[in-house]
Amino acid sequence: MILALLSLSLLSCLAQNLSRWWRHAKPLLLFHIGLLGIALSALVSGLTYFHGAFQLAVEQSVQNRFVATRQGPLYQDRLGDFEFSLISSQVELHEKDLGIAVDEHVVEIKRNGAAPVTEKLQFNKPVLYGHYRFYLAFTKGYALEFHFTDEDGAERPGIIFLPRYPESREGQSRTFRIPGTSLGQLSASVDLATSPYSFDERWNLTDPVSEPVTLSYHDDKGRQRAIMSPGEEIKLADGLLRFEGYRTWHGFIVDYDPARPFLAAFTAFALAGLLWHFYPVLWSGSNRAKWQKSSENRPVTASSNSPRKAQED
Amino acid sequence: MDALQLETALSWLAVVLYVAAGFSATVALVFKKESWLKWFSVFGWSGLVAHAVPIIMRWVIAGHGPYYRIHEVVGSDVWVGVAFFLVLTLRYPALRVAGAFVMPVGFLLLAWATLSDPVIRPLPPTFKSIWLILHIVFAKLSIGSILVAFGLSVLYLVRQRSLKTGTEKTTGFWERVPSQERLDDLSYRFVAFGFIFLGTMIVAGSIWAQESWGRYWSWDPVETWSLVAWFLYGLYLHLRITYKFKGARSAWMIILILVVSLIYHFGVPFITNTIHEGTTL
Repeated sequence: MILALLSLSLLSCLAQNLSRWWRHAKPLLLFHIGLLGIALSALVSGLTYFHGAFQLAVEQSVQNRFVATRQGPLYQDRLGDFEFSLISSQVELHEKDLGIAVDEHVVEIKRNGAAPVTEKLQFNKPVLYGHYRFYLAFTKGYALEFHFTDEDGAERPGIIFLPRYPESREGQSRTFRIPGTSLGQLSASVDLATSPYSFDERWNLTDPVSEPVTLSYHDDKGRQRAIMSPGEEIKLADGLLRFEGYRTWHGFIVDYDPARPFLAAFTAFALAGLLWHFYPVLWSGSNRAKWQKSSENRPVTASSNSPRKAQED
Repeated sequence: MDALQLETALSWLAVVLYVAAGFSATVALVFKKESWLKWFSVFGWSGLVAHAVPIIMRWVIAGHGPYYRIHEVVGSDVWVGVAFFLVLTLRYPALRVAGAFVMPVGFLLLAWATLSDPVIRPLPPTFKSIWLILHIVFAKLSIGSILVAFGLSVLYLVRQRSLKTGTEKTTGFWERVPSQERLDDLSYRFVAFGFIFLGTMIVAGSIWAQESWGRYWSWDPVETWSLVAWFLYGLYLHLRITYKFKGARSAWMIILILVVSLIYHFGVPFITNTIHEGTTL
């Protein structure tokens, strides 16, 4: 609101004094036009942007499925039925929770049957795809891969995303349901608080993990608990559940903003105008000359902004 | 003594030298003893060198510039501010008396930085960007500019008060200090520098954020406060250019701008949940 009022005030002032500004203060005029352009671009951006977040395990693909989205009221989807696949990941972390050392991912993006694009995605190096930009998010962790086979032999693979790791290493558990079964809610938890890493040295999130997972569920005999290592399976009421093992998952962000190039251009325009205006004030030789050295041991009385007047003094 | 201990010891030495420089300038100002100004130069420049050594040492050991965590960020900000001021005094030696106001801000901030946890932490991957370096460099330059403008403005106010109360002669000590008009003009120029530096810092930071997280502006508290500070600079320049806003009112407004700059730079990150947490660790 404040920005809008400021812009309105500036616009009125420009409309009223445009010719005078053009004659006497071109740099300042350009600077203020640049500011108006920035405000206008920000408005267009707010109306037309799209920002979505999604999670993906290694060797998994996703099609327009976001965990969170924000978009402007005039946003029109141009992404179509894009498919985003995480081919491989490399995530190395510093010892003692000192943060990420390496975070690189090979991803594949394709849309509407077009040829897929394979790129390496890193922090500060987003992947550009059409008008969209794909970024790495800070979220990452482990996912549990299950395979359920019902009594008719139909197979249902599923991936359960555990909470962020190592930030939430004390609480690595999730509840889930297997669609199309009479089973209620299942709970999977795994102890990754102390193992598999000591955290005293640099470690790889993407190293293989083989910790057993504790599965809790209810059946007609009451509450049941099973401990499963990778590759093991258990018999449930409606079929067979196999724990395939661990994958790592990572969070991604997709961003669309058609106003971005205009914003950049107006910003450059405004900065150029500002530098043009202040260059003679700050750097010109005549102005430097009037900054009389005080060490000359004489009273300084010049008050005029005229360099010639100052030199005369 | 390991490298970190040596670095801390040198930082404290710089604090002591800055205190000595500020004391010398204060004595020169209060007792009109111009001879004390040479001690200001000796202590000030010695402090700047003593301060540069731990910054360079840390840069070499950490493998990155001074832009992560309080110890690095605040310490190097102070170095830039003091360097700005000392370079200005080379051109205008009599302005050394303004060190009575600049140095206390410098040594208090440096003491705070030195007391903070000195452990070197690796840079997050998002920090490996040229835009971040530009963002940080221009942040330091903007703080340095406004710190110098602040020193000149306080000097202006002090002399004006002396002249008003008639307790000081207009000749002698004050005669060597640039005139009130000149002080006013110099402080305006440093605000203009600060306006450009702060604007460039905001732009570079936005590009960095866009590159790293896919958004160039998110109304983060520090972003918002830096914009408030920029508007305040802009307001000052508009008043100055349009309404010939000069003298004591101008000096007071520069002091306000410094306060807001210190708030957004060193205060807001501590009391809010912000992505600029790198300066609070």
